[in-house]
Amino acid sequence: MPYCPRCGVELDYHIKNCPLCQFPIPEIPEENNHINVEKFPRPENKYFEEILKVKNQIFFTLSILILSAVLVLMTINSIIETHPLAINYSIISVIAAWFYILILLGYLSNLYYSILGIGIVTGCLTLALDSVDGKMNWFFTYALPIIILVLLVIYLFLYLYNRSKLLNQFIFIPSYLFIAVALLSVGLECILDFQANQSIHLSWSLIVFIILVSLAVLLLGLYYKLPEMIKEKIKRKLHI
Amino acid sequence: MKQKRAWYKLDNAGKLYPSITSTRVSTVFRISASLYNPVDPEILQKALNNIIGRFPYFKVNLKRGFFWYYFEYTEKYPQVQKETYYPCMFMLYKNKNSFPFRVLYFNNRISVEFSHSITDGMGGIHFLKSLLIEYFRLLGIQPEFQEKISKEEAEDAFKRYYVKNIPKPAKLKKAFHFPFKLNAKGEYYIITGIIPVNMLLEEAKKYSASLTQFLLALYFDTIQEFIRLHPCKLLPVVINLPVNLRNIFPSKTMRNFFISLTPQIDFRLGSYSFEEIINYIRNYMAIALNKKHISQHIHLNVKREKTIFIRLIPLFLKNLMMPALYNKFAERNYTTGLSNLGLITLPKSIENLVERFEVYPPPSMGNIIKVTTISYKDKIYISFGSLTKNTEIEKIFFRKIRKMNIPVKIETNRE
Repeated sequence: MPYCPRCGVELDYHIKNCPLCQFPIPEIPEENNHINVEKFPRPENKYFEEILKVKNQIFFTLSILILSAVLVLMTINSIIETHPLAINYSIISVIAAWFYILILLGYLSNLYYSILGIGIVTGCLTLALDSVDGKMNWFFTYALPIIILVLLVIYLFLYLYNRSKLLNQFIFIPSYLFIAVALLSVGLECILDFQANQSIHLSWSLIVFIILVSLAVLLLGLYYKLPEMIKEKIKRKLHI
Repeated sequence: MKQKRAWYKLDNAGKLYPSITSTRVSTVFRISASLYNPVDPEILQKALNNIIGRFPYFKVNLKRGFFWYYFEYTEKYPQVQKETYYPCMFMLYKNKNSFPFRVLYFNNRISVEFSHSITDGMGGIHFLKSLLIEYFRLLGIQPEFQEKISKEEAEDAFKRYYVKNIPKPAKLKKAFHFPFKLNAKGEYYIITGIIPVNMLLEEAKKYSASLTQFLLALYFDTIQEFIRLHPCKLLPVVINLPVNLRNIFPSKTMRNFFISLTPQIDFRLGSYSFEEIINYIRNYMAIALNKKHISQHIHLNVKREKTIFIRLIPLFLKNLMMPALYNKFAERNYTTGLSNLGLITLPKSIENLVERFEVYPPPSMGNIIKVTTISYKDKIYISFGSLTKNTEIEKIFFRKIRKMNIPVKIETNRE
C-alpha cells in the first residue's frame, strides 16, 4: 500500500500526489490479492453544461426576436421612405442590443473581457449612430473619451474590490463606490468643459469629489482606525 | 373525474432550502453504500421501483404555490443514473417532473443524493437501507425482518413539539471564516479519512468524551492550529453541529427533524490546550443538549414560519430575500459544520455484502468546508466536503489523528 511520507496516511494505488499535502507519491505495483476498484468517476462539470443549455435557449429566442425586428424595420424602410434616418438609428440600436445580450449572458467567461466587450460595443454603437447622417459630430469629442473614462473607473473599482473582498464588505464596497463616482464626476466635467470652452475649470464635480472622497476616507479611517502614533499625539495635545 | 393528487407542505426546516438553492449552494447531501460486487443497474432500478411506494412523501415533485413551495405526489417513477458528475451537484428539482432526490451507481457503489428540502441525514439513511435490503432481496437474499410503516413518517415533527410563549435562544454573531479562494462552479471536492473506530473511541475515552465530542474537539484544535500558522483577522470560531432530534423528541418522521447546536471558542482569548477544548465541549453539551434548550430553538424556527407577515410575502419575494437572510442568521455565524450520523447497522444477512457507508455534506458558500462522519462495522468514515482547492484544514486534522498513532486511509475525488 502506498503511504505519504509526510502525512503518514495510507493512500490508494496510482495516486500521483498526496491529497492532503500534494507531496509526490511514487508509483507502487499493486499486490497480488489487491483488486483496484475506482471509487469516483472522472467527474464532468455539470455546471457549464446545464448553464450553457439555458443560456443557449435564451440567446436563441432573443436572436430570433432581434432578427425579426431588423427585418420589420428594413421592410418599413423599403416601403415608406419618409424617415430613413430614424429607421437606420433603430436598426443600429437593435443590432447593438444583440451584441449586448451576447456579452451579458456571459459567453465571454472572464468578467474583465465582458466589460471591455461592452465598452467596444458601446463605442461601435455611438460611432455608427454618429455617422448615420454622414457627418461626425460628437463621437470623437464626447462619446469616445467618456467611454474610455467609464471603463477605466470600472477597472479601478474591480481592482480595489478584488484586493479587499475578504475584508468587511460593508465598509469597502461603499468606500470604493464613492471614490469611483468621485473620479467619474471629475473626469466627466473635464471632458465636457474642455470640449465646450477649450479649458478646464472644475466646479460641481469638485463639490461631489470632496464630499464623496471625505466619506470614503471617513469610512476607511473608522475601519483601519488611526495609527498609534497619531492617536498618541492627539491624546498628548488634547488631554483634559 | 380527475383524481385528487396528494400534496405535502414542506417541513419547517425544509421550507428554507428551495429558496436558497443555487448552482453552487446545491443543498444536496449524499449517502452512499459500497458493495463488494459491482452494482447491477437493472436490479437497482427494480428495487427502487419496489420501495418508492413505501415512501410516498419522497415520490413527489416540487411545485410553486403563491406563498410557499409544496410537494405534489407524482405517478412517475424516479430513474437510477450512472454517476458522472461531482458529488452533491445541484438538482434542477424546481423543474417539471424532476424528483428532489437521485439514485446513482458507479462500480460497486450505490449513492442516494437528497435535497435537504425533503429530508435530513436520518431520513436519507433509512431510505438507502430500504433500497439495499430490496436490492439484495431481488438478488435472492431474504432479510430477516419486516419493517412497519408508521403514520408519523410524513409528519412535520417541528410543529408537534413547538411550545408557544417561551423565550428565544441567544443570537449569534459573525464567526471566523476560512480565508480560502472558491473553486470553479460545478466542482466539489471530497476527502475521506477511513479510521478504525475502536482506536478513536479509546482515545476519546481517555478524555471521558463521546466520539462526537472528541471529533468536535479535534476540529476546534485543527482550526486553532490553522490560525496559529496563518495569522488572520480573528473572530470566534463557531462549529455548526446538527443534532438529530428523534431521540430527544420521539418521532418516526422521515422528513427534516434536526436543529443546529453552535459550540464556539474565541481564540482571541489565547491558546487553548486540547484538555481545555474537550472540557468546554463536554460542559457545552451538558447545557445545550437537553429538551428545554432545544425547545427554544424549535420555538424560534417554527415561530418565524408562523409569523403572518412572513407567510403573506409572495414566494418570488421570499426567494429574493431568503439567501441574504439565511446568510445573515445562519451561515455567516458559523465557521464550519460537523455532522456525525452515528453507527449504521444492517440486517445480519446483508451486513457482509456491504463494505462501507459514506456521507458527504451539502456544498455551501458560507461554510466552504464541512465535515460529516458515519461509522459502519469497525470503521469510521470522516468526509470533508470542500468548495476550495486548499487542503490545509484536512491536512492538519488527519495528521493530528496520525500523531495519536491511529492509522488513517485517505481517499479523494480530487485529480
